[in-house]
Amino acid sequence: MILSYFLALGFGLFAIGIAGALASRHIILIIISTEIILIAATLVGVGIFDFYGGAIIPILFAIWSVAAAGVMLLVLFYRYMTRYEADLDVTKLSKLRE
Amino acid sequence: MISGIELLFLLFGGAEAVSALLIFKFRDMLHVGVALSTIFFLNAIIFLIAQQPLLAVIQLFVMVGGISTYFIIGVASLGVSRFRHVRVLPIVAFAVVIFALMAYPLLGRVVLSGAQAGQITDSAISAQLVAYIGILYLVAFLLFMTSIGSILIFRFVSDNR
Repeated sequence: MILSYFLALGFGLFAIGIAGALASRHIILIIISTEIILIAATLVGVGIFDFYGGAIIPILFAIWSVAAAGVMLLVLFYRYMTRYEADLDVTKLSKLRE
Repeated sequence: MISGIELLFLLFGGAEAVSALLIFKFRDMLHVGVALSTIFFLNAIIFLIAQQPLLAVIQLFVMVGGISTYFIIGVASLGVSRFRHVRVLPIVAFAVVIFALMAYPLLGRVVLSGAQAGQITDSAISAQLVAYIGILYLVAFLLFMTSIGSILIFRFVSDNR
């Protein structure tokens, strides 16, 4: 398997994730963009360690744990904000002080 | 000449990238959750193509079976939330620029010189590649911490209100 394929796909997913996090103002889409970036990190990691060898499992578990915690927090946050009928647009968080 | 395994990689990798873009195209929470599950599933297939079956199984169990189901049940069951603030065109433009900036130092030299794509593995330095995955992980972690910070600020402000 050619390493450049893994790198290209990983960089592409990373770019989509970063662009999504920058361009969208919805808190859920921002966290899902973080998930896409983490997927890109796993892809690049697997590609690198498949080629060079080494232990990829600890790194992947670290990435997966952050991804899992991100989705858990997302669900909690979403339930919290819907309970208090808050807007999920992150640019309106500063207006809560009014 | 592209071999069969590379063709499979291009097929599933392309589908994964399209699914990632579709997340920002969909307007309701349920479809976004399904698209996220599709990305995880296609990622597991790519792990299989890379001859890493253990990682594929863990990816299927943890991400597709656990996280995506939790996301769909926990979020989408509370009611369909409409996204109103997403435009796909800026996301695609941003993605192309960021991809070019990241991929050119590693892949651009090979493509521009007309060499075969496989030669990138000869010229790449492992320390640089490890630094690349470090950057990806660091950016995701910073975004994650920003999300946690926004949650804490929101709770603090709403409690004091």
